[in-house]
Amino acid sequence: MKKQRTRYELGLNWRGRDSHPFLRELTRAAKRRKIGFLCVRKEDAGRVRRRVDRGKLRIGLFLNTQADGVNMESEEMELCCAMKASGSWVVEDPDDARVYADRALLMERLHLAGVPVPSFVAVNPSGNEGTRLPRAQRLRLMPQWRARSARGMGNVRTLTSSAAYVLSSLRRSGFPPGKKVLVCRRHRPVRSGGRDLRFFLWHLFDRIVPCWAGESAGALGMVNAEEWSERNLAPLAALADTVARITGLDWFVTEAICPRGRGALQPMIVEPAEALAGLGPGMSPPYRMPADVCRPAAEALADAAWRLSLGEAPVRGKSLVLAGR
Amino acid sequence: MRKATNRIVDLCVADGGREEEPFTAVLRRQCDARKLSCVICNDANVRQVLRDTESGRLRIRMCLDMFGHPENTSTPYTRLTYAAKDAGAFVINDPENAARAENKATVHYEFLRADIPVPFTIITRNWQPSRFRLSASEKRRLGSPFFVKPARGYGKQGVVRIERGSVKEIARARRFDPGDDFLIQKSITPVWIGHRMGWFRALYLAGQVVLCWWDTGTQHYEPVTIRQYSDLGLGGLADLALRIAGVLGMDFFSTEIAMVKASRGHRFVSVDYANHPIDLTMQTFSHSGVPDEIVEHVADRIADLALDVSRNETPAAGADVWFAG
Repeated sequence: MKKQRTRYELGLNWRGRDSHPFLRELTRAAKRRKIGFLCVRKEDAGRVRRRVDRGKLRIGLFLNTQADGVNMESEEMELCCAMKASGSWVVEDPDDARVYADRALLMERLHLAGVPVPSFVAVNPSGNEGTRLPRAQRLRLMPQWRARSARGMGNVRTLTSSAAYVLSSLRRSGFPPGKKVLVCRRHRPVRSGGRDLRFFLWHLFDRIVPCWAGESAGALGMVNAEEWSERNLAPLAALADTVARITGLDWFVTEAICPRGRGALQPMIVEPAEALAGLGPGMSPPYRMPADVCRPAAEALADAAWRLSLGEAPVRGKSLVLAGR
Repeated sequence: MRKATNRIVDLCVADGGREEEPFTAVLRRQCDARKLSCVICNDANVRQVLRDTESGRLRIRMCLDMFGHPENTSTPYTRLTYAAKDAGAFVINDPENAARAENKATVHYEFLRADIPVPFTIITRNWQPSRFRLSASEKRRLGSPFFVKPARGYGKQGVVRIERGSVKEIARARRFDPGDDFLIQKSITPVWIGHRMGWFRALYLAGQVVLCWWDTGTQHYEPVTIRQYSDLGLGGLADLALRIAGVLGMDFFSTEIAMVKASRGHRFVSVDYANHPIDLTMQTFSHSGVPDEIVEHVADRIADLALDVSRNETPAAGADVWFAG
């Protein structure tokens, strides 16, 4: 009988396809680093958790791709907590999920730290507060706003509108009563060289991977070195780094635009850090991790696990990853 | 007849017979962490390694040339790089490309063809008479003072600052090596950014650029941070280093780039083309050394390249920028 391994350097919970480019790249990256890699499927989650609880299995670094932070008692979240209790480095820390899975709270933190963000309000479309926001709040959001459920990561309900009756619009669009919603003023990005300056910035263990983005199409490929230099996009790198420092997250995706109506290109964060980094359950565009980001993401994760197994810090320096010219 | 046993080495360093540098020790440690075999060639073993490589008894997967005189084929170190290349190894730097890049006169014209900004330069050939005289318009474009540099020189040797541009001054400078061509080059005045000179050294290593401030007066390196890169608009600096790498076909070199005033803002000028091998003395041991963290990173990346080569994978040719800290 084959003896079960008791130690893996890297693990993740996974519900997607086996042929998903991220899983394929991660398997390759783990082989390259010669580290043990465990992919925990839904049907194995309970068994794995029991082995972890009994101290019969230890995983050095565990990536959560499933628990979205909405239900703290979910099986996925409990698996992450068990991993953390056994000494694993869980990405991201399940004890902080109430903070990083709250879009409104993150936006507030970024705003207070001086990061450029759009005007925003957090509202609760419960039905007891009338249909209109106070005038001062309405003015901050106009002429157009975008609303997203404040809690949860990845594919959450989204509404873009210019209606003055914000609360009734949210209720009509099916935002559940009693659940917090983040409503942000919608800015249009500058166009340069025939492209909107809208980006997804992946931050993967101090590797920053900028991608072009369409508002509803999602990531449209990595920015290349020539575009980065010609359009002077360097400020995006510091912006992603700042978001990482303020939120304390290692692994996330954030959305930035260079809004119209400002002199120099001054990027603004329009969507705070999403800690499943586009790999969450049923993730679809625009927030899904694109295929060309899967390789740097997998390598960053395997490198971090390998370094931890050597007793080193998980990252060495920061890097900006661009596509070749 | 018994067939000779083949030995495989993942990384062979043609070190050039100097005393073993701390960099080499770091490189050995990084290879050990990846379970890669590493041979450092010095005067004691280089001839044996060369004989074994030429006879096929030793198979080198990757060879790192730290000796760096590819035109001097009389030394066993240079011959080793050619023998490794001929036997199918991945050589950093490819000796043929390195030999071409060693001649600054050749590189100057290649840069002009590739639209890489260079200082105004006049090239004198070794067969031109010692009474070589600059025309009035050449003198005007060169300004005063200017520099005379040997095309195949290195480490500032033979570089002379000329004040008046007289026939005698130029002839004296050319006497450094009568068999060499010389570059008569306009002096570049960098802008000042706060208390720092806008003069940089960019280290390029297989698709990745590391940026450092370089003070030509104090000969001191300082890493460029991600914040400086973003706030000071240094995106073009890394891009220029990537373009230089593309033109030279080299995998590992350093280049000096100055930031100068332009009609709109500033622009970058390549001032010292490509230096290979790079002096990787650590800053701990020498004031003019490379910051320790960068030396550690270079060793880390070289070992990663050797790992990829050992797995028969092509080393990725991206366009990354790496920042210390």
